[in-house]
Amino acid sequence: MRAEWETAFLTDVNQNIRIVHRVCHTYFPRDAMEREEVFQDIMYQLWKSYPQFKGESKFSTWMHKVALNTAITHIRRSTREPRTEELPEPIAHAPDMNEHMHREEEVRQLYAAIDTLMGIDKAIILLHLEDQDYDEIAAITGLTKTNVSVRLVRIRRALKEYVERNQ
Amino acid sequence: MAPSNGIENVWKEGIAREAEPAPLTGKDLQVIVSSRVRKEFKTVSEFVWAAIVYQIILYSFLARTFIRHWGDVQIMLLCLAGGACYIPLTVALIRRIKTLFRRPSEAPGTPVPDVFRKVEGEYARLADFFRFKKRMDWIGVPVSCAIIVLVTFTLFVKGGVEGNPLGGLVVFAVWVGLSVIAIHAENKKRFISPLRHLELLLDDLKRS
Repeated sequence: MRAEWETAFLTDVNQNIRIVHRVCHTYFPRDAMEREEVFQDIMYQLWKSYPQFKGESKFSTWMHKVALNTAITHIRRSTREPRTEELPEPIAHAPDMNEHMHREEEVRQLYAAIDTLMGIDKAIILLHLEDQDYDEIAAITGLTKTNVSVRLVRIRRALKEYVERNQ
Repeated sequence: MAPSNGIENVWKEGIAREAEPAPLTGKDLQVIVSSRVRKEFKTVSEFVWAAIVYQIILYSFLARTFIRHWGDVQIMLLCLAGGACYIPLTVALIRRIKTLFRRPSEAPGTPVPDVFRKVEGEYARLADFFRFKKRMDWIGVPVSCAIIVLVTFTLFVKGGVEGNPLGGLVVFAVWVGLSVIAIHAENKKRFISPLRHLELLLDDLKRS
C-alpha cells in the first residue's frame, strides 16, 4: 500500500518536476545552497500534502501552489538581511555576436529582470509564463482575477523597462 | 531582449535550452524526508530550548536549593513560592508552543491554502505567539529575577534583601538588564526578522 502510494507520488512529481526547479530558480537565482534547501523543503511539503490532493484541480496547479507557498514563505536560515545589492550589469551585445549567444543573453536578461520583482509578482509572472490562465493564477495566489490581470500588465511593463534600460 | 521578442517567446527559448532535470527516485525521497524530519525536530527543539532555557535554570536553582536546605522552613517556602509563581507561566508557554508548531494545513483532509492565505496564516500564528511571548517576558523576567535575587541573598548575604535593599536592587536590575539584552537578540532572530519578511509579503499581496 505504502509502496503504491510512493510510486504514484513519484510518478506525479517527476512528470512535473520542472515546476519545482523553476520556482527555485525564480526565487533563489543566485544562491545554489538556498535553492537546494528550498527544493528539498518543497519536496517534503509535497510529500506531506500528497494525501490531501483529491484531484479537484490539475496536479500541476496543486504543485505550483505548494511550491510557491514554500518558496515565498521560506525564511533564510542565516541572519543576513534580505539581499539588496544591484544585479550584475548585463553583457553588451557585440555586433558580431552570433544568434545563439544573443538568445542566451536575452534569456539571461529576462531572468535578471524577473529577479527584480517582489515576491508575489514573481509568482504571477512565473505562472503566466508557465501557461497558467488567470483563473488558475488567482486560485494559486489567492488574488482576484482582476487583480491578477492588473498586476500582470504592471509586471510586463516593469520587465520591459528593465530590459530596455539594460540594453 | 528585442522589443519584437515577447517575454513569452524568450521564456520558451530558455526552457527549450534547459537540461532535462534528474528524476526524483525513491531513495532521493527517503533521504529528503528523513533529513527534513530531522530538521523540523531540530527547529522545534532549538525553539523550545531557547524559550524555556531560562525556566530550566530557575527550576534547577530552586530544586537544588530546596533539597540542599531541607529543614530550613524559610528557604523551602521561598523556593516553593518561587516555583508556584512560575509554573503557570511555563504551562502557558508550552501550550502556546504546541499551537505554534501545529500547522493547521497538516490536518487530514485540509486543502493546501493559496499563497495569500498561507502568508496570512503564517503571519497570524507567529505574531500571536510573539505577542504572548512579549507579555510573558514582561511578567516572567522580573518575577524570575526577583526569585533568584531573593533566594540568593537569603542564602549567601547576611541580613538578606531586607538588610541590603540597595545591593538587592542593583543585582536585580543587572539581572533584568542582561535578560532583556538576551531576549531582545533572540526575539530579533526568531520573531522580528521573520515577521518583517511576512509583513512585506502581506503588504504586497494586499496592494491592489
